[in-house]
Amino acid sequence: MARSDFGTTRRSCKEGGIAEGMAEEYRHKIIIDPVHGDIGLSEIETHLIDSATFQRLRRLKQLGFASMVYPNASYSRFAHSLGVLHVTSRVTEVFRRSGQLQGDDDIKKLRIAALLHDIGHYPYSHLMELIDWDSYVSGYLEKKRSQNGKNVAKVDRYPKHDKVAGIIITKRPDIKEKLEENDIEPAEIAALIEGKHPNIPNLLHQSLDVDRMDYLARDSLNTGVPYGRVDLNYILNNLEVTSERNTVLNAKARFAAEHLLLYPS
Amino acid sequence: MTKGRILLKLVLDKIGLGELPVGTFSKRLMLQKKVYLLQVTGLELGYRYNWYLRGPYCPALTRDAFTLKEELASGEQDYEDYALRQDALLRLRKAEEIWEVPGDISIEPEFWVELLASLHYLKHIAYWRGSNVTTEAVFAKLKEAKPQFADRADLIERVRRKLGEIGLWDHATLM
Repeated sequence: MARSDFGTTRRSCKEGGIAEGMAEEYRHKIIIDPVHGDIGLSEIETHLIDSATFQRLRRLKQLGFASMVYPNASYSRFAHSLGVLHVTSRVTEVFRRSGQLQGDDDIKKLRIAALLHDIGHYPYSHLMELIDWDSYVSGYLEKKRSQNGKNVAKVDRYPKHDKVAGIIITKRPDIKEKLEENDIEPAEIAALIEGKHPNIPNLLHQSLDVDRMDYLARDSLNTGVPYGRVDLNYILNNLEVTSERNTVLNAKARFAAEHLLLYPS
Repeated sequence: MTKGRILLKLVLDKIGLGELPVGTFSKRLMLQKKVYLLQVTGLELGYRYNWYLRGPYCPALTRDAFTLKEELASGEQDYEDYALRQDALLRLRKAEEIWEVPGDISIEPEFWVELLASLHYLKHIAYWRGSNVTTEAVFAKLKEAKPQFADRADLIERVRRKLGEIGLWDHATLM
């Protein structure tokens, strides 16, 4: 067993001979996950996980206060982020086999974007995004008749977590510099998280995305409720990329997809 | 321009500081102390104060004032689409009552608002006070913090009376 700088217990691939079939690059470290099994990591992914910025996700509960109702629903965004990386690796493998994704660099960037997709979450996760920054202000202001019909003042809400993720990835030295050392442009990772990359398929920011594929399975396992138990393998094997770089599903897998999409996010 | 700064701009317009006079210390002091008094008389603008050289001071307010000045200089006019509600205007008038220098006193307006804000802060906000803080203790603390007023007991008492008339000696705020 190997222990990282921040205490994550991982198997070294050389010790156990596990994770067969995984590309050598992604066998630098293996983390055992109760949902997906062995999750293989590259060297740069391991360094990113060991950063203080990423380790913060250990202290953020994925399901907020849900653990007050479902006692075991207290898993972290750290665990979920590793799960999303794993689902992404499986999706990219499907696309690579079918020729819809060819560059190894694109796969590397998609995996890193998946790993970092929740890095901008606030304490209490989505709850903070609903708070008006200047909640007392609107009580004192009234709008004059608008001449152009537009609401000209910005709504002073906290930015969404994926916007914050972009700021963290492009500004925080422990993330930004590690990416740049590996010839990865931080702004590209931020664009992938927001689903705005001009060339690489969007896997993270749409109805049918790798984020949801992980948390449905993880929620189900940790809460004990059956909702969300989807046939992930079947869905993964029927994914395709459109010419607009959106991820879509072959029609024959629509029932599995409906099950996935009807589960509340 | 955020809604918070739009509100600040409209309030400052009403109290004659809409041009953001932040170029000199005394003008910045006037802005700080007047906004402080506005807040304790009931117009909550969200700023929180600590004690600095001349009394209660809020770094966030200074930042907002400078940012607002830059936004106005660059031509932003979002605030023109908004007006203060009647409730806000009533609270403003309450504050204006307090910072007008009484006719029987000869003092620069800057010192008057400084003393009003400082005495209020020491009475209600500062951490030094115990649960049964006396008027004498507050006065002593003020003279210690502002030795230039140490021999102006009559003036300090006048400031206390003014706070009392409006209800701010017995209560921290009028909200």
